[in-house]
Amino acid sequence: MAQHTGSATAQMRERTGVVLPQANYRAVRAKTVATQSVVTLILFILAFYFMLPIIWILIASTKNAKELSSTGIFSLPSHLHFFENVRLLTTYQHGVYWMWFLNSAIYAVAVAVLTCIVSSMAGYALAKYDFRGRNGIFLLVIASLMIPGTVTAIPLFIVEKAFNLVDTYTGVIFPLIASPFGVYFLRIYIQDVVPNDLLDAARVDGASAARTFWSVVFPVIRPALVTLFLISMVGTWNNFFLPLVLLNNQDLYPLPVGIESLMSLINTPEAAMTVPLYPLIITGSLISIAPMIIGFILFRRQIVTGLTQGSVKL
Amino acid sequence: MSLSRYGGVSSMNGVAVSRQSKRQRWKRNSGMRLLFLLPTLIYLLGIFLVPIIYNLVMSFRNYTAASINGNAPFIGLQNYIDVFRMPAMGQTLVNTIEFVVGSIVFQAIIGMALALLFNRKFPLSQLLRTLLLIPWLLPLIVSGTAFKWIFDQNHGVLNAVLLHLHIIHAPLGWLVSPNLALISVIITNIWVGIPFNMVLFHSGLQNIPEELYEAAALDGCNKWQQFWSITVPSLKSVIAIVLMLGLIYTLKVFDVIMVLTGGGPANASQILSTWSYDLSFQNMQFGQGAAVGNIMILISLIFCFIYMRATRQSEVN
Repeated sequence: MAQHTGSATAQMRERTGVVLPQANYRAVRAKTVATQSVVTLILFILAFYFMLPIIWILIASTKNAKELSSTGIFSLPSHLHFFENVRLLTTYQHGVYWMWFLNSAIYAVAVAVLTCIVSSMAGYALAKYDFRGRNGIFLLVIASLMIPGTVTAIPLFIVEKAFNLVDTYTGVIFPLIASPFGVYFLRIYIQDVVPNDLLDAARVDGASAARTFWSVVFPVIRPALVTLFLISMVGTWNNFFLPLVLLNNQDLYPLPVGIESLMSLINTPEAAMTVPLYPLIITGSLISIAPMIIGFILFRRQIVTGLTQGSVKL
Repeated sequence: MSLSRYGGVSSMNGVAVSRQSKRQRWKRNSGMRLLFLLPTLIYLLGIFLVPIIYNLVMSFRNYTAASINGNAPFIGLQNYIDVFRMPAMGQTLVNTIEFVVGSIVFQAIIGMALALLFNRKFPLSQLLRTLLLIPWLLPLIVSGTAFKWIFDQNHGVLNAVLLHLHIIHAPLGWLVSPNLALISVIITNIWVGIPFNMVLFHSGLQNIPEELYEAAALDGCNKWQQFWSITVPSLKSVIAIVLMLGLIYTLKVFDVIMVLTGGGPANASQILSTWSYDLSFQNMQFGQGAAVGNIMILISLIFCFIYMRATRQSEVN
């Protein structure tokens, strides 16, 4: 990247014949400092707008059902009910919430691992093997991005029913492994990063294709795999529609479907009588987003790099 | 970065290989490449081709709750004729256009503005950039719930602020009034999509050499001129991608509307994706739901085609 910019500079200088004076740099910098505080202020306001839902959830999770409707949005209650709400959540239907939490973790990790394996295999074949129909397959992969979830839902349900996969962990994990983004992202990455000489050398040394893939390609593409793993995990953790269609048994729900099932109870009067649903939903939402936010702060760089690399090169 | 460590990609034929071993390798390759591709091929078949064909077949048959397991009679284009004759169709199409255009335009403008801001270094820029990526991280069920409370007629923060500033004199029913429901879901969807736009634009901006701007400044170009004559042309391919992906993703949006309004009141915020779901899963008219789904795919395909023509054209030039 630095090299690219460097050569552009050189070209620029050649073309314009201008060597930029030092003083101009300094003037520009001074001006930047002056505008910085204004810019930062605007951004803080924007950041607040972006954080609003989270701030709201944080404050609301400390209130009980009565305070939720009686106190203002940003006023904290005199007595914090957060732990009380967590206890409510934990005891609700014998701790079904934590079951959903565990389910989400199982789905997210399983899908992320398998997505990495399947996508790297396909990406490798599409990047390094020359064969007829290669571009056709690649186009199909990208075209599958366009298919709306509502179109695949019913056929998928019927296929899974035929294989007895409805209401199983496998039934949820299996369709989510297919990641057009993953195949596309790793194909580009492998094309750019894995040199053919390295592959040829491995072959000359007598390594099998599987061994070449495992001990030559895999280590080189590890950074991309970390990115894909994280993106795929976030996507699965947040996925709502597919598990909604494929699951009836609430013991198998992931968090979003579970939380939605609580929301749908709000309109049934008898359920609203027995449990305070709003505190359950709000506290449940807060706990469900905590792992992703913590993970995101820790792995921000890997995720952002992947997002940009994957999309811009299309 | 690891990219530079290996330099460019050399050609396969760079190494001298005897004819025989080349042929052997080809043979071994043909088996292996199939093995490597097999999982993906199964997926393409299972979750792409089969559903599309199935959906197409369904849209030509009278699939209802009663006939889903048995033999649904073939009725030709009747499902398509039916959905186009429904009074909801006109409104849903208009809503879809408004939803897609409104979301994409504002996501792109705000995303670009933020990307330009973050392209300069200033205190706390790293932290703020991380905060701005939060919407991408949240399940739409959760952010949708939060927005539902923000828009709430009686306890919502939006009405409270607007009343306090005397912009409005009576609380507005953001999600329950037919005039406002669509605007509310668009506002929420813009919030959801900004991080994606910002990240893409930001990475595009970083590839524009700083010297271009400095040269333009010396030539007396102001910031506005610099933006239109350097930034926009340099980002042409990124902008095209952002708009294209934005269109595909926005057309598919489902969760946001489902959580906020469910498409209501009286279809006021119904778009094609939620309508297709309603027809299939609420009305149990699976054939009609499939027809609407196919209309959506057709729209995406048309825009993909336009995009590909446009990029090919610009490559030729």
